[in-house]
Amino acid sequence: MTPFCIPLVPGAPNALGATLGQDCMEKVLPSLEAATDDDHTLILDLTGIQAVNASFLKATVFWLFQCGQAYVKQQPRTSDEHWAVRPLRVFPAVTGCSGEVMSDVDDFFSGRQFPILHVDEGTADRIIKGHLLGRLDPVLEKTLAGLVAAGEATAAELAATSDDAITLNGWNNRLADLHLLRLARRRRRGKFWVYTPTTQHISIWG
Amino acid sequence: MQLMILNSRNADAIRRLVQSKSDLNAALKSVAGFSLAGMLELFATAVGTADYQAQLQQIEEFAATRNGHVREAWLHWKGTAAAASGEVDCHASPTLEFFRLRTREDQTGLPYQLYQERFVRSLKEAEFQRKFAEALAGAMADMTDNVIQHSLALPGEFSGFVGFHILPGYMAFAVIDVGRGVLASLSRSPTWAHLHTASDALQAAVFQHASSRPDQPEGEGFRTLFKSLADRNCRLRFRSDNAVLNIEDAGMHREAAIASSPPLCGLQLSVCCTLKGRPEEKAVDGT
Repeated sequence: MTPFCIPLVPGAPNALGATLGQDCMEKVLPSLEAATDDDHTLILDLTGIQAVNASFLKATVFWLFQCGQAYVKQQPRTSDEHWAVRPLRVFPAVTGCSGEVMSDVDDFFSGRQFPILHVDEGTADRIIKGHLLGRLDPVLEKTLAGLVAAGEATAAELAATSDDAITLNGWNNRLADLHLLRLARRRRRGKFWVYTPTTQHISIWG
Repeated sequence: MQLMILNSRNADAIRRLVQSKSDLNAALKSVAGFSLAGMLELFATAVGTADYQAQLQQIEEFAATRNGHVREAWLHWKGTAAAASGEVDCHASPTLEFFRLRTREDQTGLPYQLYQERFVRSLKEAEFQRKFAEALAGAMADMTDNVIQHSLALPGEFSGFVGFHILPGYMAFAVIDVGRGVLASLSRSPTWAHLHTASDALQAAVFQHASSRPDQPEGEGFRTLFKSLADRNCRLRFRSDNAVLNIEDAGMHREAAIASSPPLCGLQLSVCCTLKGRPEEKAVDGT
């Protein structure tokens, strides 16, 4: 399983409205739908963008976020509408946000109680450094920090490095939540899930 | 009829005239001037009328008699003005400008991006703060996006139109379409299928952010619009089918009033805002 990054570029200085967002997504949708065997990271590149609004974000990264969650929850496509939420093996992120655009993305995801990764440094096939926008529960924030420090881990391995008095099942739930929030990948090793953070280094914005 | 300024407050009077098939040209001669909203509403009414070709002919004749902005707006909607073909000064900051919306590309292409930038530039020159100006541009873009996303207007000669009018300390923008209207749009959504009147549908769209997307029952457009206008002196008017919703600042709070109006397809909305004092629409054409 080799995750690869697909850049997503709005192509206009004012990223406003669902129509522009959909046009942007249309370019990558065929390759995303065809990729059923691998996870994909899709990074919305907002470099040089002067303004972004909720409709645009909802049609792009948030739509991807919902599709990624649908995959984890094994939910079917919601309808036959062209932009209906459907299960996709996708991990969305943003990059290149300037000050005000960063605030707007942060506000959008905070308002929905979800986090989104802002990529600060990466290569064609991996994210090296990033920070979180939006909102992440402090407990999950701590779990993510532990996972980043470990590089990869099962629930039992993470439990062994922590003083938190919670059950193994509790650690499993936390890691599964990070996976659902698109902040950790996972693969099977025997009967255990092995989790890997989507970025090698992470911080919280603001 | 006495000479009057046609604005969104009295637009229903002209609508009745247009739809009653009486002498539109004669009626228009009693109009001393137009606000942006009044002018665009007149166009939408004419296009939304069954025998619209005849009505358009009368408006065309009327517009030809006025050298001002009515003619300019009319030519834009017809697509024969310079801006409609992209021949416009990109660095200008006009006080009044129009843009027609007929295809997805009209919403996403460079000409509309530049139109938004001129809107922001003009607002800043009219004493609006940059952040507020950008928020208004974002709201306007979301409103025109609704035309493409939800109106299902045929991509023909007359489907969508936007205009702005800016004076020192004052701005107005209006967006019209002659598509299927809010009620028909929301009927697609299982969440909102229980709405049966244009009035309920319009209020759900504006106040509850109802959206026709089946898996996204709430949209962002009107939320963005109201967020951009929070704590500002503004007046908003929305009309669809036979419903009209007016929202106005009244001192410390905003008042909303829903009423009925002669039926017309599509959605027409107008926003006016003043930095000081009561928001009243100003005439763009007063010959």
